[in-house]
Amino acid sequence: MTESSTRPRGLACTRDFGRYQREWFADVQQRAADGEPVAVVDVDVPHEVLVAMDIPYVVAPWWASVCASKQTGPRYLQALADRGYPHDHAQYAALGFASSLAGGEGPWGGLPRPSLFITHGTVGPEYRITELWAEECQAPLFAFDRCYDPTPPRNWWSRISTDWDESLSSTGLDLMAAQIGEMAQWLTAHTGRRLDPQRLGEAMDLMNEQTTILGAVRDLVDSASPAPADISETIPATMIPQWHGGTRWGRDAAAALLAELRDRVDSGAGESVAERVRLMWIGNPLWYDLGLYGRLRASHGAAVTWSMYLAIAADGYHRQDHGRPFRTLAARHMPHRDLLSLPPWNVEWLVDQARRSNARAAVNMVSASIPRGPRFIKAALEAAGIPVLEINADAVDPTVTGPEHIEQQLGRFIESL
Amino acid sequence: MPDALTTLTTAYAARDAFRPGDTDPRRAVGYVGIGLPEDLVRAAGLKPWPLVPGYAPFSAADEYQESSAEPWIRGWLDRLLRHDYGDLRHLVVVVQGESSRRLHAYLARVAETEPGRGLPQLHAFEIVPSGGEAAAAYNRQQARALLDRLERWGGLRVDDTGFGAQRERSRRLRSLWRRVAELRHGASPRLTGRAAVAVLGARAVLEPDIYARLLADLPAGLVDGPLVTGPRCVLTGSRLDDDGLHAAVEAAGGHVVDETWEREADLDLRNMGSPLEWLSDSWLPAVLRATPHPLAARISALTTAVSDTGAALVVGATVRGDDAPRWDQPRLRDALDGAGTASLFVDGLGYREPVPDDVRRLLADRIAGLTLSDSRA
Repeated sequence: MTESSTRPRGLACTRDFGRYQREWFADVQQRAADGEPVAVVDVDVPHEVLVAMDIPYVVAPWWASVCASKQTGPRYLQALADRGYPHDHAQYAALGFASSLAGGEGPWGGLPRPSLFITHGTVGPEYRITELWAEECQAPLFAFDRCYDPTPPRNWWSRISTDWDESLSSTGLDLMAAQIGEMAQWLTAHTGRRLDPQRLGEAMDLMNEQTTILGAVRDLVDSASPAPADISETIPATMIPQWHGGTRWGRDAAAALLAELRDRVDSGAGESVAERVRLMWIGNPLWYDLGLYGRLRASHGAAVTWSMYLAIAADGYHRQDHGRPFRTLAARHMPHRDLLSLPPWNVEWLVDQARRSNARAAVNMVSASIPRGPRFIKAALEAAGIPVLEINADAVDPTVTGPEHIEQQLGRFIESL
Repeated sequence: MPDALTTLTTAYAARDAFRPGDTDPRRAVGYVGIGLPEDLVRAAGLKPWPLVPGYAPFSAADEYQESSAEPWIRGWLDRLLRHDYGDLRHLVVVVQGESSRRLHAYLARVAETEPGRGLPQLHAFEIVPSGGEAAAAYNRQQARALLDRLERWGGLRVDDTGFGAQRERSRRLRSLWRRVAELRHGASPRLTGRAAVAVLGARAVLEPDIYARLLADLPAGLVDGPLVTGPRCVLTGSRLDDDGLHAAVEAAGGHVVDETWEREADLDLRNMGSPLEWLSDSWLPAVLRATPHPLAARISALTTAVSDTGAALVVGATVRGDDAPRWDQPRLRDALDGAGTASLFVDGLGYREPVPDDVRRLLADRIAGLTLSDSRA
């Protein structure tokens, strides 16, 4: 594997996003050093409240992905082992905690010292890990309950934006809305900052605007042939703007991504690259080897164009505000994890996504510590005529399944199509 | 005629062959998790049965479920898919976290996409753990929905009189369980940990009246028996669903006096109010206390078990597929070290598989280093 073959093609906007992110991180580090609060949060908690209260935050799994892509995973996992914690379990959830244990140099100058943690309280080992992380940082922890909806709405992606009040569990929305209120009070108690309803409304509007733009990006990638970008380009270009969801920069970054991809399509920039077969990539990418996707395109004409990152940004976040902001926020964040990982939410959506993205086949990266119902996914996609390759691997730990072995599996699968 | 302990132990040993759905198909309600109040189910004219999970191989479950799921979750799904609980028509999944949520979702998906499979009617009874006001309101709504569902299944309205009678029976059962605990870790213990597992576990296969009578008879049969000796041990970590580790500890010379995983026998209930009030204000808080959520509460539960039973050693064990408790181990070890309690942590045991020889040797070494005087009972 040479350096040049592992480096993904780059979008100019992603380079700009990376620069912005590094500068933002440096600023947050300085603010943390000056005694300002910094939060570590999960993906599915209401970031908009933090934006409105001007509390910078680091999204734990996104930080883990940054660490892995900067090849710090093995050192951090060793830090877990050195302290007696498992290094072979829940690596994705644990990598951020591990980065705090390891200390020393880290990506983007390292994680600013967190002073607040916000997560969900009922999600397997993740909660235990976040507890330990908060304890290590001597920081308080706020935990949402995560409730279960046994009768999920069908075709949620076509209706959840507008009719969420009818289609989602009313008692679940009541619970999370109340806990968002509790979280805002908790933040005030720990930071002295108060939630301004007007700023919250602006953040929610900006989040909706961003998700609408990312929906257009998704549609463009799905419909253009050849696709203007593969997932090694679209995932970072989606994730960094989403990190800043609810801000003007986050919205404008999404717009810059759309503009650049439109340019590629209009100028035919992608047409010199063979696209023999188009694939979905279900689950997390191999963060430690994002060059894989470029190599597959070069070696097999395989364009891996669909990822949950862009698609869920397009379908999973937009919520019309019906005049009760906390309840609207609950509608956005309460079902988030189920949309991606629990049948039938994810299964039916993935079939729809396979069809609309013109995927010839799907690769499902099955991770032992992030269950997503792979058997149901495989059965439903194959019933829809989409062959599925399951790869047992870990997104941040290359020792679980070696990159060479994964690439060989993928090669054989693509050749079989 | 066999004594009570022999009958209970024999029933427990045959638990995998028991098919609760065949006892009374119209009335039987299977459940998974400890959070279903049997009193309420009976007051609705139904017969509750805690389901015994299967063990590897999980070939039926593996067609649908990740192999990384906890083994008892795989075991329940496997037996349900194989109709191994007999003609079971009603099932309550007590949802208390990711695994049970996933079990319910997978069953619902199979029932929907393969209606010919004949799976039981499902109900998810969710208990959220945070304990705040909003969570309590959510749990109350879940309790209401459970009551409605049981009344619909049973065709009987749960009234105060019927429920009161069931609750009285349950109060007697709890009192008997407390005597069992005393026989196990009191000043003059006569019940081994392994036998206690059988005594508690036999409930899953015996009619309640028979079970209660056997529990009532148990002390008399033990009173002239030998005292159980050996350094006292508490088990923590993965729920084990069998007595294999207990047997290994006992073979190494120890006496297992308690376990920290949640058990209905340990629920601390109050006798109060209407069925719904009792469910919301007594049952649910007791279930939440029995499944300590934050790390500090888990540490406290373990150190309390040690001090209440006079244990000299904590054996923490995890089974393959249940790695979450491993994250607690460094902090538990620190807390035990601080309290002067010895500990031994072992990982990767097979669920309902024999304890490996190397673990047996570790247990023997560790227990040999203790003396009876280390136990403080």
